[in-house]
Amino acid sequence: MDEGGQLSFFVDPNWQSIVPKEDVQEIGLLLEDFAENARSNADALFKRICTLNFGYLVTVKVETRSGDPSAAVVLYPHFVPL
Amino acid sequence: MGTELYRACGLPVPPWRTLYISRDFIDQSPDCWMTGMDQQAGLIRPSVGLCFASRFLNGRDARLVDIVPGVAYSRVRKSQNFWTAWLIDACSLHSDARQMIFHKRVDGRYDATFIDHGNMFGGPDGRDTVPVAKSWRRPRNRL
Repeated sequence: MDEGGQLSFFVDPNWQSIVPKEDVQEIGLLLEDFAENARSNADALFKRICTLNFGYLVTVKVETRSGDPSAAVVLYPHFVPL
Repeated sequence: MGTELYRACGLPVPPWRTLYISRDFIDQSPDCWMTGMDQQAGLIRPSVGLCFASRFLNGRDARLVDIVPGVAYSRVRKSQNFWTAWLIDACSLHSDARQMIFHKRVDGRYDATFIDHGNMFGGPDGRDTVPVAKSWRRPRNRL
């Protein structure tokens, strides 16, 4: 999330081959939800995904970096925008 | 209090008890120290004394998830419980997003258990007045 409240997602383009096969559909639907809610309810969505403890998606680490939000692409250069 | 209110209204909540937490236990159990919303601020040391102890919901016969896609709400059993919960939250000035744990059954359907009532009655200090309906946008649209 940038300083203007714009929320962006970057994912591994091969995520479907990484997650358990039985979870692909639900995770795909969750990612669709994220993209939709990022436009309409970014603050609440960001707060929620910072505290995912178990299930299809889990929050491993929350880190704040000032400056260019696209710095995440540098950390994970093969990720693509959702 | 929130948990008991939910239970009295017939909604599924984890069993709970009051539990005395001693200073020695806290010192010797770093796993019970919590991370707040500001993760940079470090771990929060629990207070000594009586606390709310909620039973851990294990997943022996069902998988547990804490977020499901919006379209999956149509696969939640007893989905009318959401309306009851919404009414309770509205009347009790619940100032946080309603949290649930979903048990995924082998048939692909979900059972929802309601958790985390710490922001009911105007939040921790009783002064929050955030409209609860904002927190319920997704479930309401899908039911």
